[in-house]
Parts: sequence; structure tokens; C-alpha cells
Amino acid sequence: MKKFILYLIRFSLFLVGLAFLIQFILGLVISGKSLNEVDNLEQTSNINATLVFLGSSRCWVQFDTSFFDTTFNQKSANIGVDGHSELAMATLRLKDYLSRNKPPKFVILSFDPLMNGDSETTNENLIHKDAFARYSFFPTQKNIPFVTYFKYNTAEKYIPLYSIFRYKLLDDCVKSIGAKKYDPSVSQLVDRKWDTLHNPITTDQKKYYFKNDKLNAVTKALSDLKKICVQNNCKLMCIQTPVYKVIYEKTTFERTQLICEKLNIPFLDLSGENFKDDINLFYSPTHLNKYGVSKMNLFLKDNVQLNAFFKN
Amino acid sequence: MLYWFATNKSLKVQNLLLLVSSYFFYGFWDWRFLFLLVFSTLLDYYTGIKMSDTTSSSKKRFWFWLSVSVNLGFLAVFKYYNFFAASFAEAITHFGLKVDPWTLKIILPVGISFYTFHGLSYVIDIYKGRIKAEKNFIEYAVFVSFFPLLVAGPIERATHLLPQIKKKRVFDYSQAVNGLRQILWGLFKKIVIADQCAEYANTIFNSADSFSGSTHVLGALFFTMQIYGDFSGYSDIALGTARLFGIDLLRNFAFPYFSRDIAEFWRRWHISLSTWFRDYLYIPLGGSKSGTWKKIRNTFILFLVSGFWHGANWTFIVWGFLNALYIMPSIIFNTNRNHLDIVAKGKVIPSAKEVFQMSLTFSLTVFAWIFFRAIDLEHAYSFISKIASFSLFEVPYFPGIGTSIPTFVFLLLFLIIEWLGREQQFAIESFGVKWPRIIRWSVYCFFILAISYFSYSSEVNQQFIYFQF
Repeated sequence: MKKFILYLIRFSLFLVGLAFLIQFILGLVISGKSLNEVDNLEQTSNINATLVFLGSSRCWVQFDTSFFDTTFNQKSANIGVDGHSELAMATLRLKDYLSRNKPPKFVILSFDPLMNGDSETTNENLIHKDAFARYSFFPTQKNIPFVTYFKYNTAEKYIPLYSIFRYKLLDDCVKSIGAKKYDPSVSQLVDRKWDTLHNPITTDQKKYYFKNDKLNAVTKALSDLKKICVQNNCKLMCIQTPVYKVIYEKTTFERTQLICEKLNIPFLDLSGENFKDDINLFYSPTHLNKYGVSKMNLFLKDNVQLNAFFKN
Repeated sequence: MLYWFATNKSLKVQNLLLLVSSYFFYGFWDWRFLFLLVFSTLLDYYTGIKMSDTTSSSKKRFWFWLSVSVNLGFLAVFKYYNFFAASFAEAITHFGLKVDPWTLKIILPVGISFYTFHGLSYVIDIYKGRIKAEKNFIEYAVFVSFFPLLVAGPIERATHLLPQIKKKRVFDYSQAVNGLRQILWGLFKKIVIADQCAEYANTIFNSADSFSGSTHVLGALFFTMQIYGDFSGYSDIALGTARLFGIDLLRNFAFPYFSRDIAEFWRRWHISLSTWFRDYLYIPLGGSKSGTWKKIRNTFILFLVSGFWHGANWTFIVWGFLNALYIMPSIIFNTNRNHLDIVAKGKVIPSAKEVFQMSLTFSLTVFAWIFFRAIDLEHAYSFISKIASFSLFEVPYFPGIGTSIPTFVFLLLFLIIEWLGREQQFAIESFGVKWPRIIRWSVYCFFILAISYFSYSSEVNQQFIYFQF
């Protein structure tokens, strides 16, 4: 019996050691590589951009970094997070960016009624938890906020390979060997028209607009974001990008402006412009396609307020 | 730890611990059915003693039939009542009458078919004078409800298991290591093979009309591997766990897909059930000693009952009937005991004849499994019709076929290991025992990591198929 237990312990230690070793190797293999064609925390370190974009997918697919690089002569980085309309996530990403880079001169937040406040510690939106799972195992100080945000459990944090297996990262890890390094200057524009057959025109998105009862929470979250910008000498501006006309509500879209005015943050509203009337500019009710972005860029290029923002 | 360290001084306490843990294990599923298990155990224990004590054959017969009828009564109510009620209602519609069958809205107690058969074999053996009744209730209750075999077998015999329960058990290092190895192989079969195959088999069977005949063949193959991995995997886990407790259970699988004819297949598939039916149904009916026609009749009865045992559905009965048909040539021509040894014994490569025989037997088995898996006869018929169409020659396709590549790789690895280990009790029994320890341990770690990977990343929790029987 003693011999059995002894060998069982030895084998368990061997297994744990092997698992740690594989976890370490996989960590090295995927370090600095994108597993899902989206940027990650390592890839946005040491970029030292002068302009940073924050927000959700509406930021990620609508702000063309190359346009800002060439037109406004700003080295720009887009760290919008697909699926996350929480200002808490934008704040988290900004804090993380600041911990890995020199502070940018300018920060542009994609801000509209689809955004909400939420919290960095009690968030309920776990979209792309799998993409962040690589940071869950024995998280470093820098990664702890994201591990908390996505609520990784104890097993995910301390059992080697558990989160890699659970969030199906193994296949991606293998595929990532020899993969091209992520290029932050390549924009994520979507080059397709709105397929209204499979993605019909509806007003469903309206239900995600923040209501009056959330106004204070949103204001507070934006105020916190502004404080970080001020502390780091970054100029903050909010841009409200267009939505398709069926979900446009004038009074709702004016609320964001009121918040910005209250917090003294420059605000540029594109939602009321005539972009909203042309379906060819969109690939979904809330997202401009590549053609729509080029139209928006033409507008931004000559926009006095934006030009003044960069000049001052 | 408790078993070997705290209770090893007293067999009584050790058995009591086994019983309490077995009841806890069973009650964990649904504590209400624990009463049924305890009642069934008490009944067989009591009637067994009564049969042993009495000298009057009529009293003996009374206690015997009381036990048999109550046991089968439970099975009839819990497992078959709805089937008979619905079949009766359907049959009556052919005469222009319509009735709404009164069906029972109850769930099937897990393992009822298994522990009922344990009890039945015990009372039949006492009635036939093969064994004496067990006077110690704890020991008898452990025999019925020993947790590794309680929910899905193997179906034990009192002659085999009871003596082990009554004897003081001593820890045996090699037995325990073998047990762990068997558990590991069982988990591999269940999680890496069966559960992965289940995902694809379910996709194909659940929307059968949308796919080509070739995809249906693929679906049937997936299910064939699923059911083997699932059930033999469970059996390996059960046998391995029992070994850790110093108990040897009956072997349930012996590489059935390497059989050269159907008779051999049935000597290698669900052995404990096949031998149960042989000993308690086929032989009492006259077996193979009473002329060809009776042999044919008995074989059909055996397979139809076996099909019905699996579930209250016509698909299982057709599955049993098909297997009876398959085995007929060897029954009629007395060739059913031609292949008693494992195929290509002592060789790595089988002969062309053996490959042909194995392929034919395997194909027949795959065809029969379609009925086993189908929801009803109509589903089975439409599934087979598609196979019989020209779309059989199309390239197989189903959504997610690309993700099945790792499953195919593991299936190939699995079949190679099974083939190489086919002369053992289970495939990895002596796998790598002569290798340096670090390499052997690395291989075990590979299995564990593969199990962990498929277990953690799986979105669906596949229950063991035989839990429903």
C-alpha cells in the first residue's frame, strides 16, 4: 500500500510538472500572437501611439487608424473591444495601455447610447472571455484587472492547461505557430454590404440604449475615464458615430452630448448627419462598412472641431 | 484510504463502508429510488432465505415466484408500462377505435435492469440448488449494490461476487495499478472516443434527411464507435474501480469489433448479459440440445428478449431480431463455436481471410446499430433508405466535419492500441510495461491530458448510454 501511494504521489507530481511545462511552452508560443485576429494586451504594448481609440466594436471597425496616421499625422492605435459596450472595459483597456506604453496625446472614445457604465469588478458581459483566457493562469499584476473582469475561477487561474483546454485555445495555439505578427496599423474595416436577408432590418438594437435611470452611472464612468486622461495629460474627445435611420432617436442620441457637455469633454456627433439615411454605408444597423467609413473619413478630414482638437 | 487504512481490520466494517458508499452513490442521483433498491434487495434476501430453509417444494416455488414476479413487476411498471400502453393504443386504432393511453409520468430508475438481474440470478440459483442463501444481509446487499456495477453492470453472479465479498481482502499492488490503468483506458474510451463520436453521430442522426447516404454511413460508424467506447469504457471504469477495492468483477467486453462472426461478437459484447441470458433463458428453454428447430426458436427468443431488455421500443426488438438472423447460419450449421480464440493470436497482421471475416461481421453490426440508435422504426427506415440511394457515392459532409479530424486521429490511435492489446483483459493492461518508467508515465500523461482536453472543452455532457437501461 505504501509503495502504491508513493508511486501515486510521484506520478501526480510528474503529471503536474508536465502540465506546467506544456502550459509554459504554449504560453511562449502564443505570446505576442493573435489567436482570433483581434489584438491582445501584449500586442498593444510598446506601440507608443499619439492617438488611441477606445470603445466597443463600433470603435474597432469604424475608426481607421491608417486614415488618422496619414490625415492628421497621428500614430494611432485602436484598442476598441468587440462585444464590450461597457465604459468600464474602455477604462480597463486604457489603463492597461498606459501601463505598457507612453501616454498618448489624444484619446478618442466612441461614445453613443449603446455604451453603458458597468463595473470593472462586477461586470456580467463575458463576451470574448476565451480570447482573454491566455492571461488567466497565474495572472501577472498587469493582467489581474482583466482576470477579475472576466471572472476566471480558481481552477482557471491555478490548474495548468485548464483554461487553455476549457476555452479551446489549444487548436489556436497550434495554428499560431509561424503565424504573422499582429500589425496594429492594419484596420479592421468590414468590406461587405448589409445582408438584409440574413440580418433583417429591425429596431431590436434600440433596447440596448441606456435609459434615463442609467444616466448617472454612465456619467460617472465617463468622468472616471476623463480623470485618467487628465492624470496622463491626454486630451479626450468623444465621437458619436452614425447608426442606420431605423434605430436613430434624436432625443436619445442627444443624451450623450449632454453628458459630455456636463463633463466638459469635446463631443463630435455624426449620428444626426445624413449618413444614417444610406443603407449602402452599413453592414448592420450599428456598424458602418468600409465604404461608410471612407465617407465618414471624408467628413472628419474637413471637420473643424476635430482639426482643432488635434491642433490645440 | 478509509477502506484500506481505517476499516481493513474488520471485514464487517469494510463491507458496511462499501454498502453505505454504494447507497450514497445511488441516492446521489435520486434518493427516492434508493427505497426501490433497498426494497428489491430485502425481498430477494428474504425470499432467498425462505427458499433455502423450506423443505417443501411448493413453498419453495411460492417464494421463488414471489421474488421473480415482484422483480419483473417493477421492471414492467418502470420500464415497459408506457411502451405497452402506447402499443396497445396504436394497435387498437387498426380496428377503428381510439383510446388515449394512460401513461405513467415517471422516470426510469437508474440501473433498474442491472440490479434486478443481479437479484434474479441469485434467487434462480438458490431455487435450482446451485447456491445457498446468504444469511448476512450486509454482504448480500453489497453484492446487489456494489457501486461500480450498480448502474450499468457488469451483471454479476452470486457464485462469483459473493465469495469475494465474504473473504478478507488484502491490498495487492499490481491489482491496484492494473485497476488505475483500466480506469484510465475506460475514461479515454468514454471521453475521447465515445463523447466525440456522439457529437457527430447526433448531428447526422438528428437531421438525417439533410445528408447524403455516404454521410449516413459515417453517422452509423460514429455511433458504432460511440456505443462501444461508451459502454465498454464504463465497464472498464467499473472493473478498474472494483480492483482498487480488491474485487474482481466479470469481464464485460473482449474486443468485440475484432470478431470474425456474429456468434463470436456475442461472446465478446456485453458478456455478462449474454451469459446471463444463456444461463437463465436459453439453457432452460432447451438450449442447443433439443433439435435444430428448437435451437432456432430459442435463439430468436433469446435475442428478442435481449433487445427488449435494452429498452421499451420496437427499434430494440428489431435490433435483437436482426442479430438473431445474423447468427442463424452458425446455429444451423453448428459453426457458432468456430472462433473461440482472439483473432490472429500471437500475430500482428491478420490474414486476408480474417480481415474479410472481421469486415463482414463489423458491417453487419454497424447496420444493426442503426436500429439501436434510431428514435423509431420510421427514422431507421428513412436513414437506411438514404444509404441505399445514389447519394451513397457522394463525398460525405455534415456541418463541423472539419472539426472531426482530431476525432479521426484519436480513433485511429485507439483502434491500433486496441488491436495491439487484444490478447489482454483490456487494451493497455500490459501496454509499455517493459518501457522505462519515464516513457510509460509520459504515455499515461498523454492519455490524461487528452481526456482533460476533451472533457474541459466539451460543451455537452454526454451521459453513459447504458444508464438509461
